[in-house]
Amino acid sequence: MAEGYPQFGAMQSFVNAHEWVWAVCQMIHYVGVSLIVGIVGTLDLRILGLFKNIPIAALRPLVPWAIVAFIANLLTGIIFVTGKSSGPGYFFDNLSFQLKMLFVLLAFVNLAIFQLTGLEERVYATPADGNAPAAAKAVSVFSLLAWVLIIFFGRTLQYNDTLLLFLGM
Amino acid sequence: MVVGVNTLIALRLLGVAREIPLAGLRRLYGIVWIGFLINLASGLLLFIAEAHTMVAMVAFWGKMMFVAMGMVVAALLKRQYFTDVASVQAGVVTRVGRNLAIMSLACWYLALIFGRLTAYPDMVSGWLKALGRGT
Repeated sequence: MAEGYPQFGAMQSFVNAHEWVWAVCQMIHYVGVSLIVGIVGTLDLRILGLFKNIPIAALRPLVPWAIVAFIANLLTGIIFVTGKSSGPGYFFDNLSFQLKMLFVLLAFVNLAIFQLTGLEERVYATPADGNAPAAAKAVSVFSLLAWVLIIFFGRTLQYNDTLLLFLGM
Repeated sequence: MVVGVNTLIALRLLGVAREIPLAGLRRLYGIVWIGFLINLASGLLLFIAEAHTMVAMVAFWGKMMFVAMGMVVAALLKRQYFTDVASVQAGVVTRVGRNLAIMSLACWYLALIFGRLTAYPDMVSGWLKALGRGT
């Protein structure tokens, strides 16, 4: 099954030898995703026009927390992929994992568009009680969608057969 | 929706992102409630599917306890602190507000950790046995 993929023997035996490693990494991964979606999602909803009594710029200091959480999830994610005893093929050949990574990638393309087109500065310049630019609202809708799907496919990873069955594949 | 937003509120009360007006936080509780109801509904279905294994699990009851405490703390925060209009308008975080924020963070992250532990019942019972032996 893991044919053709590089194997990470040292990590696999480490994870195998210590049952708590996987459990603790999962906790960190869950805490991380809560922080990311709690912060990014609130920012998205404010850009879409909810809670207008919070100025958008006021939410900005929370963004570094989401970035730290993302890095933590990237690192724990690498531990999952390299440490899985049956090999990284478990993830690479898993449709849920592939879709999850696709949406992580798309969330980043979305973020790049947000930052490189100057939308970010325009959004943070929105006056308190004001409306964000329409283009920013489109970015926010996509961001919300992407993160919901990232969590969804992250969860179905473990039940990939059910997902395939459901999709008629 | 529950943990993320409660974290955001607690962080603000503890001094992060001071530019967020305190009065604005109250409306975020709408998201907390929506998230909680979704989790309650899906959680009940999951519980029905595996009730016999769940009731026997220490980690499950730990999680339920911290979820319940987290919701009580959230309700207290909303009622005790956010109705203190004078403090909220003046941008003052009272001691009650700060203490409840710390409790909120503790409850939600412990609930998350215990929830994850329900996937490892053998590991948890191993730990409990080790504790019982005094090792």
